[in-house]
Amino acid sequence: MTHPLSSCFCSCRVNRGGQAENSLFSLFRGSVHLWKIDRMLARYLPLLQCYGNFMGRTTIIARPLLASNFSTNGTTSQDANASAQSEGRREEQVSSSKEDDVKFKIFSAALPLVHQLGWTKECLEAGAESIGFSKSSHGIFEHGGTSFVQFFHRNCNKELRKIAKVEQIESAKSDELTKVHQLLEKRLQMILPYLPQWPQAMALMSRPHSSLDSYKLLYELADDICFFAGDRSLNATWYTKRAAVAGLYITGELSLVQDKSANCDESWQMLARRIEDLRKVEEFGGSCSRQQEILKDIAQSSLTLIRNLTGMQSYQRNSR
Amino acid sequence: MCYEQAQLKFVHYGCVRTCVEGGSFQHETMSLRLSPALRHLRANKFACNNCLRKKHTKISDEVHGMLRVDHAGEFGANRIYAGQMAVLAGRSKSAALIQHMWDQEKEHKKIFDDLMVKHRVRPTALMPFWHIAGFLLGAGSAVLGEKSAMACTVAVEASIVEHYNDQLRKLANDNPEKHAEIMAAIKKCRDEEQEHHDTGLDKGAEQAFLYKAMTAVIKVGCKAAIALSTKV
Repeated sequence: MTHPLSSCFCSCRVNRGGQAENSLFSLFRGSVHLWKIDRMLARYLPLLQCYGNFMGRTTIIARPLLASNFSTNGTTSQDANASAQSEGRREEQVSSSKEDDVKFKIFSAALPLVHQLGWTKECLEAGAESIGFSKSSHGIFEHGGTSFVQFFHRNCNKELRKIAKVEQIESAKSDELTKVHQLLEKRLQMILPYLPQWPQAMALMSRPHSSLDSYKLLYELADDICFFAGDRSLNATWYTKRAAVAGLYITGELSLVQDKSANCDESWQMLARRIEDLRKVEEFGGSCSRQQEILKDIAQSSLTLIRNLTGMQSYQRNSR
Repeated sequence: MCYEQAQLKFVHYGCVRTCVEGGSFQHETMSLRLSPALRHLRANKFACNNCLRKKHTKISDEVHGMLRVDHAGEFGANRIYAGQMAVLAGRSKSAALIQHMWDQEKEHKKIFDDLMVKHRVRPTALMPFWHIAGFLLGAGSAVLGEKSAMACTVAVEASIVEHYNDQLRKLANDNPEKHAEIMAAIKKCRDEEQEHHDTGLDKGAEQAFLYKAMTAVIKVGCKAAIALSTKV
């Protein structure tokens, strides 16, 4: 049978099995290899994620490293290199805002029930029922409890941004670390109402399944806090600051979960002490850069000295 | 397996295929078909289906990468001129010229700083590395002589101009109105870098010792740096 592409038989060659093949046939064999690689990934990728999670949530993987697609939010890109993610995104964009609305409604209805039912699918079911949706609309949260907690985190981050804008923290007169402290406290206070069930939420977010999303959420939280605290640095301190803030958030969260003092005072005091430590580190860094300039001067003057001693200086001057 | 099945099995990721079955001419952009086991990874996306970051910036990840690498490039150029000045200041006739070019690079960096902050772009993680490498390149080329310093400038500026032209082309192909501000910034920088390139040639860069080899090596290094800084 003829195939339109059969005319594209090009560069016949003999493969390892001794058969004559063309490049199209070898592409087909390649696709079988792709399938095998796909199966291998399916088996081993969850284990790799597990290993990454074993290193602890304080290990911050630069999530933006993995994200790189050209399609912009809302515009249909004719670019032939549209990735599979953006493909799915485009299909879902049409109904995404509506979906978000429904999701938020079910989420808000389910939150008060977390105390009785925990961060689970049952809680979402009960929440959906209480506002008149069918029980099975909990499925809008694809992975049940995990998606519930993810949505909660995302919502809290959104609230934090709103608070930062409303209270105009950015333009306040206090220094950066004070603002970081303020924002961190506000964000940690958002989990206080759900503290008894928070260990369950933390466990759900620590799973390999949700590790990527939890790192992404943490990165975005740290970025937002640093930005609204007024950090406009564009060098290595960008990374160190965000790492510090992310670490502080996790420490705060862990401390709150096991805090037995009244009003969780111990945790807030611990947070204040950590901020003071950061302040001392900053001062030390500042003094280091001042000393760096002194070192530069020393280096320059010793070079001049060597040139004088070896006669290079006068040689150059005379030879000109 | 027969030929047609073979064709259907192997889908070219990202290419556009026309389905002519039943007389319809439907264009379909092929996406990588994930196995059922891996599909859950794709489904386990962020709850809002869009990157959260895109909610408060209006430019795509690729433009983020462009700004990142441009910022890193201007920072590197600053450090190269700093290295050259450290060696040649007060001992060369072109010191004033190099200082002038360095001042222009400082302006470029300021432009990209503002754009980075405006769009909340992450700076490259290799900043400390470019801090040192740029200085060493500038100082090293200046130690070899004034003409070698000019040759280094010529090589670096040539690769930067090429890179900016590539970016301008990409942005123009995507959406010129949307990226107008960024394109204007890149154009300004590109024109001044071209000036630096021509100045370097005027000042006798081609008479430097091993001009061709040095420029080739520097251009390769610049290409690698650009590729790295876009992602990292």
